[in-house]
Amino acid sequence: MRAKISAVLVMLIGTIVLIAQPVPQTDEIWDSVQARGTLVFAVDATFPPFSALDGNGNYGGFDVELAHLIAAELQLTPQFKLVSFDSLLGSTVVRQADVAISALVPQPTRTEEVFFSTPYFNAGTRLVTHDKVRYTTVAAWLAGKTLVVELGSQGDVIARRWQKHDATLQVVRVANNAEIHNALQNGIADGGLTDVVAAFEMTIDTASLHTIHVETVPYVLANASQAPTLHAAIEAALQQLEENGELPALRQKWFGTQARALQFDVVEGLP
Amino acid sequence: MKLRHVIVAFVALAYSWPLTDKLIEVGPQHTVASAHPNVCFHTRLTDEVETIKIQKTLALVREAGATAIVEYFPWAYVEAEQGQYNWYHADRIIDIAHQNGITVIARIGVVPAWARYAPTEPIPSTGVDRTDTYLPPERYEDYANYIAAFTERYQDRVDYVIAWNEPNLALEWGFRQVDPEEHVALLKAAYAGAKRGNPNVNVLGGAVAPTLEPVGSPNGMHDLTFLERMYAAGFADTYDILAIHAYGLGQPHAQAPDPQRLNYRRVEVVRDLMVANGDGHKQVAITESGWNDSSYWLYATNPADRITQTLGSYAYAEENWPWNTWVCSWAFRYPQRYYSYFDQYAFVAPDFEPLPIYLAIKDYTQSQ
Repeated sequence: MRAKISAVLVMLIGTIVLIAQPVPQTDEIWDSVQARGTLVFAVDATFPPFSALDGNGNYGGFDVELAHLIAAELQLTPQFKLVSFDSLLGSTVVRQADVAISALVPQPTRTEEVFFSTPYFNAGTRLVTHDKVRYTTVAAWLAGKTLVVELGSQGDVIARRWQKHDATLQVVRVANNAEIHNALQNGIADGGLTDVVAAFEMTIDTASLHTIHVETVPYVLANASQAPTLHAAIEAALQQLEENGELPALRQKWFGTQARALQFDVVEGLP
Repeated sequence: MKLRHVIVAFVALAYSWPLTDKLIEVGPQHTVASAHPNVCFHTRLTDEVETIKIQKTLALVREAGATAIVEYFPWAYVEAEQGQYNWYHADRIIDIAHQNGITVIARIGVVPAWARYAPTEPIPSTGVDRTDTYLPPERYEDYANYIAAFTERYQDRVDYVIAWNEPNLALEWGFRQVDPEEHVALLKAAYAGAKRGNPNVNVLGGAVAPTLEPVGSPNGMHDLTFLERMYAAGFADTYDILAIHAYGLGQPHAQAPDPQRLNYRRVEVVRDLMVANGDGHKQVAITESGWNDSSYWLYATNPADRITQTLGSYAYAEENWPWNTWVCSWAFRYPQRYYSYFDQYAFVAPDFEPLPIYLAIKDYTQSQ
């Protein structure tokens, strides 16, 4: 019976997806991209190390280098259009850019206007520890431990939530990520909750530290829903870059060995 | 579990949902206790579904000692089909704010799909290709009619409305080249509409984004240039109170103002421009303000400094700007995380966990 229910659900979801997807007759945006030989990326260059401008006005960062890889995979020349973060999606809808890339997370309220790609990075808050903790054993590991977090950060919010779940957990609040790193190095805390960039930096600086994400924040690309062929091309490029090792190598280049593999495991047993 | 049990459970849930919502009581009338009544928040209840979450949010606003909120009442949500109004969501927010003793400053925007095209233009068969900030001149009167319907409906509960938002950014002008003269034409229609619905309502105008974008930039226009041109086009006749956005952008709240610098006290430069254009007798409301504490956004500060600057901004306005009414901090709480640096503007987490800055503001408003 359970198998039948699953089959019915799969058919039902499939039908809804098919009905919900707009089916344009042509993809004028993709045709335009092909004709000019360039792929225009909308970028909010205020968020290093993902995207930023250097002193000479050149774009750089993890997202920018990924854009170069995607364009090369599609045999196109990348161009960049500087926009604010809240203009990223709209700029593709009104065709001022072909693709948006800038530490962008899928937004459920915008799926009628844009396609979101499969994720290329997990930017969720991370637990940094001396012990090698697994996703399945975090809840048990926390008992009686001391965590250090930056005051007012997302790590602080998660720590407060965890404390409600486990009263034996101690939380120390500090002013910044450098103090989290110091607390870990000096043995003042058993673990730290911090953002993805700081967590990976700590593992690069201190090889004995381990890190796992405790929430999922998938970074994706986006393009107008009027361009399904372009969307498919980006998906194919991402898949190829993942399989041929260029994307894992890019993650490792920017964030270290522990960032090489793309992971979306879910921490078990915690709110 | 058998399939029929699933179906029965689903049907039962579907029927009980609206009943549950109706059983929520509005509760007794409250007043806001605050030693610093200029404290205000820009809330984001636009996409909040459950009544209980609206109640909880506004109770937290009241307990923080904030006397007012700026809240968004999207035209596209209320009049998704032309001429057919659905006030359900707006009613709930305004009723609950009123019950908490909180003044509502209603921000009116978001163009419905049907109004993004002139009556003579067809909506493309492949889908809407204009954003919700695109309003053709032929639709200005439709916008005015919505504002008129809004101010008439809430004439006993809403005394302040803001027409449009940050019109000097291409993003907020349908990704077109921004146009101060054209924006004043829109505001003239909006002002007339607001007064038609409620002659006593206060219309807040301006709300330009602080930016140094040069004339001709595809992204926007320098705020002072934009305002100057608006005044030349007759802006003064389209508002009662000037709405100003005053973000700290990583700088100290007391940093001296300068026309070529973006900081909190840029308010004073805008006020000078207002006075120079003969509008010094009108008041100002800072309808967006705040500091961001993202670890990586280039214009952010750290969480502790954010607390210092935010409290300092309320006190500075109170002591130095007698012409200012409120300082509304963006943004009280989001219904869900954005997973971007926008999240680091919040005061309360989506799960209602108060952040340290919320607790600091609460202490501030309860002390002399």
